[in-house]
Amino acid sequence: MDIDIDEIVALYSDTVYRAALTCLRDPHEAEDVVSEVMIKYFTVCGRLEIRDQEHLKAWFIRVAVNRCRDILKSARYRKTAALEEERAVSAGMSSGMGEEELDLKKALSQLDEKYRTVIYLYYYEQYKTEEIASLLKIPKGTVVSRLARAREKLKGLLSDEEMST
Amino acid sequence: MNEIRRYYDDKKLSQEQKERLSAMLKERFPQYAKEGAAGPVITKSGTGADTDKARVKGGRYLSVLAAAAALVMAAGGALYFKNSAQKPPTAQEGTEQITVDPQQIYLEQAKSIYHAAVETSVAIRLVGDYNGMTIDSETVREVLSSEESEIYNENEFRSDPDLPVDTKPITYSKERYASLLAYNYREDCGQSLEEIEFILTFDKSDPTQPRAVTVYPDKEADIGFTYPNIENTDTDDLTTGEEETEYEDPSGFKTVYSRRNESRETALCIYLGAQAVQWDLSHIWGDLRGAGFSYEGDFSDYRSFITFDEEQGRFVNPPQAFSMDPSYVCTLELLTGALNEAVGDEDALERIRSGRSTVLFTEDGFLYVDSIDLSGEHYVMQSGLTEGVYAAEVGKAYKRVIAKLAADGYEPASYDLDLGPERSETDRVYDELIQQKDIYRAVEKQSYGPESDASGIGSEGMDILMRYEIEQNSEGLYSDDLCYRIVGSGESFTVYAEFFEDNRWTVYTYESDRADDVSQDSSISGVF
Repeated sequence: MDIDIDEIVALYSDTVYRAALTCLRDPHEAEDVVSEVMIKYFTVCGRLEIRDQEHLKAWFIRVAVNRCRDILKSARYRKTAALEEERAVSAGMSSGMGEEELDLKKALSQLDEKYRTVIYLYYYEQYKTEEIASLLKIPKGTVVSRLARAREKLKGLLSDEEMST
Repeated sequence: MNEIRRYYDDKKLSQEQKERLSAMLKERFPQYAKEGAAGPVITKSGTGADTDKARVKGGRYLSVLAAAAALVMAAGGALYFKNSAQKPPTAQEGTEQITVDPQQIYLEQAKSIYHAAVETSVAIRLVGDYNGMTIDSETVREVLSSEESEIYNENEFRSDPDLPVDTKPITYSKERYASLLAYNYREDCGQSLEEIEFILTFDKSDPTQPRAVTVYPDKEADIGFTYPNIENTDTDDLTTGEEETEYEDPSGFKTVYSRRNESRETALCIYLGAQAVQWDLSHIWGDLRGAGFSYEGDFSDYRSFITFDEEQGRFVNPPQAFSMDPSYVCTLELLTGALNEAVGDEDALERIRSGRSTVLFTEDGFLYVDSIDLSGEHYVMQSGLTEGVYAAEVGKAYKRVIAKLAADGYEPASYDLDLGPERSETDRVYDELIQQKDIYRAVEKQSYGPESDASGIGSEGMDILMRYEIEQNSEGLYSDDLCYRIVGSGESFTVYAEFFEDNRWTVYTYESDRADDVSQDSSISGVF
């Protein structure tokens, strides 16, 4: 079955969006990344050698993460990062999210990008650690340690949250 | 885990957003908006309608020739096939021309170099035993400039995602190599320097590897760098300078570079050249290597985090570099140090003193310094590079720093190496560090020896070595890590090495008085 634009968008735009949002913590930036990655895909898809749908999904995530890193490195983003973090949390508050989820969201948003990314890939996308290592081009041991540290940091952040309430 | 999933479930594009995106894409890519489009064909091979088991039969496989033509046409430039009946359909008179040899292998090379040029908007010139290819920088700058990072991403992704990280070959494909060469330049030097030229010389007998790479970071500075040095290489533009220096590396290649303008340009040349040929930088590292430093990984991981500070005239690590995994930071700084050492960094201490730098070099090592206050009679120094397998070497470097400072008349008020030693205990700290390193080598050998790579460590082992906690020390060396710890002191201690894999903690224990007995125990552990 041939894949057209609608199908590609339906299949992968949410994945790209979530990956971008996890990295950037800014819904608007994440939407831009979705557009850019989709355009990128249709620009280069003739040259891609995609084995299967999982491979294609990995391609989307990888390109999205790379694009996010480019953005994170940009001077423009560094100047606005603090504001965007506030925006991400505010967005959660206005979405009717439960208190517990809001705490979690807030805690997640306080993690460094490297921790947020592995948490997202591991828990949401359910990649194995070696797959995450391949996606992010980091050693598997680093993935494992980042996961462990991210969990610890989340625990700490959520505990702090409980204490303060 | 459910909480996390709920959190992420929340993050979806609205249907309206998706439709808007689809409409925009259809307008831009009409060929993919129709049934039977020429895009990748994905066929379902799973059993259920909603299964994600799908297979791609393959995309369009353009011939190398067509691919190169398409690339050049996409650039809006003109392609001229010398002695070829095939003419570019969109060639325009008066535009800059790209001349390529019609033989396929050379077109493949041209494509690689072209990719690199597109990425970096720099002029790249190929010379060799065959008709070369010249890409005018002005033309290239117009090409896909908005997509250069995307192209890089594609290359990165396609470099070989299937290879396990551990076994990823250090030798890059030519495409990767050219891409790296150009990308690194862009990353490290910024967009403002556009006059750099890479001249890659290929042997007709072996078109798979460049015979020489000559880098001209600044033509006005009249300096270049060639690797390897080949007697009959066209060196018309290569400046060897009055104070020419030769370095022999173990492979027998000879590096020649000028020290006439030795700081910035030379360092750039070495840096780019070294990356271009995948050196392990051992020839630059010198004593560092001798002191036990090694680097087995992918240098490209670090390229975004080493920049050349023109004001300081040296390589530095931007702040974001230090948000990386500590093991990366450690290696990054080794690399940065090696680069700066290569430019003869004699006054690093002075720069640290004045707040202009954070990396301090000693005779055969270097130390990252978070802060150093030399304003008073005593100084307080805090080091940021104390963790991991290199701790012993850092300890030595630290000692040299102390000695250097003492020679300059500074007496320490305190040290903070996350070890909390007083000055009188420096030697003890050093000895402990050495001992700990040996301990971890023993653990690594027992647990991962058979599967480790040529370095005897392997990436997993290396990662293990990077994170440990020493409970015998009141402050701990690596208190925020859960995976490894040593309990005990002196000659009697136990190492617990816990490795999380496939939702299972595997615990290795090593008792110092039972060196041959490494036990292994696996247990399920809660994840979150």
